[in-house]
Amino acid sequence: MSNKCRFCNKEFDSDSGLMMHFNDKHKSEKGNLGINKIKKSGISASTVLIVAAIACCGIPIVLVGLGGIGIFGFLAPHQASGQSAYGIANATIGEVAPNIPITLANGTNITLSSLRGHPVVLWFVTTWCPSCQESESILANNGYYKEIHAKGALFVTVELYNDLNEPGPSLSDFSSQYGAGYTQNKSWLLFGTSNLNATYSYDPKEYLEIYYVINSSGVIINTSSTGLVNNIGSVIQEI
Amino acid sequence: MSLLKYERIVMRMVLKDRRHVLLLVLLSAIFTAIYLVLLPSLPNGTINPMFIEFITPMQIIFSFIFGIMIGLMITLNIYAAKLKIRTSKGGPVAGVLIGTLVNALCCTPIIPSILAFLGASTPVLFAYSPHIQAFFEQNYPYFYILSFLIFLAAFHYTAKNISCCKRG
Repeated sequence: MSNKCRFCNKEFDSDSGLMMHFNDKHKSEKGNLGINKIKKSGISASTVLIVAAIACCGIPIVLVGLGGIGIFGFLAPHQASGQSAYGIANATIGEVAPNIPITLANGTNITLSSLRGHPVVLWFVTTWCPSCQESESILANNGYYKEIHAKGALFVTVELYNDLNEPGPSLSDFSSQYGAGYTQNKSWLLFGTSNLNATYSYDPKEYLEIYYVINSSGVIINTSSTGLVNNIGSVIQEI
Repeated sequence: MSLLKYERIVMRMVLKDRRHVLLLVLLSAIFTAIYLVLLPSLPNGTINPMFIEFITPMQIIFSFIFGIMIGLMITLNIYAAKLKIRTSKGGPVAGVLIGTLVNALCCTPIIPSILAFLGASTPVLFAYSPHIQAFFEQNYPYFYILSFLIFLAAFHYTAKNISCCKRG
């Protein structure tokens, strides 16, 4: 392989010598850089790639969001401050947790208010979301369920209404598959479903998972949508 | 023009120097390790080695691909900078952004928060937000491939710039 400049055929001993020569003498010559074809039109290749990336990820999100607001926003029920859609109270820290019906996996119907007298960790999930599945596995396998139980608390997992309209495993399959069998037949570990109002009340922004820590009087003392497992240390402290 | 002409020329030029080879291996190893933690962690919205056990085979493959591509791009850019050759920086940045962000778009509160910020009501969010998140969850491998293609394009431009005068 020769270190020969293709513009003036001058020979060089090293790559760096050739490069220095090229930068000094021929940098502006046509055809030296493939990228120049784009630069001539006033747009750099970097800009093209970044715009392509934004177009691929950002624009569909914004369009769908705007489209949804524009087309359906006016048709949606009016949402007053402090209330979820359809006039149901929003779950708020410092206030009594709105009462919701829960149908447990064994078919029993209970209400959230019937659990008063115990601290409750109320975890709303979608069974198809990977982070929820991973969290369930970590809670069961890393001893976090046991720690919560040791504090005398109940742990209630509620599937968000109709899994937020996406196909996913049933809540029983979710708990048995990802809970690795640990979650079966424990009276303090409840799995159930609720209605749309419960989802609107406790998860008005439709996060794929959200948890509430409720004290024994039924008052919400904390909530977060940033992942139960990410905050498990503080949750155990709070109960 | 023969296939991958610029790329072959540049790889021969750069890998002639043992320091560049070492740099490439070191950077590739570091970035692969970072991706092995990053890709399974991002759906949870936090970077935590605890989530490595949930990495998918697809994520393992792309962790190596992204790690090696980033190592390669940095090595080439360092080589080009020494020779005062201008290279494309936007490509690798775009590749990194797409490859990593797509996992976070699935399960973290990013998309519901954006839609809520835009003024969407709860029923509108209920109708759209989970669909968008599920789309990113189901189709993340395509975004990985897009990211890889952007890395390849950036590699091609960089190789073309560096091999401007070289004859094989």
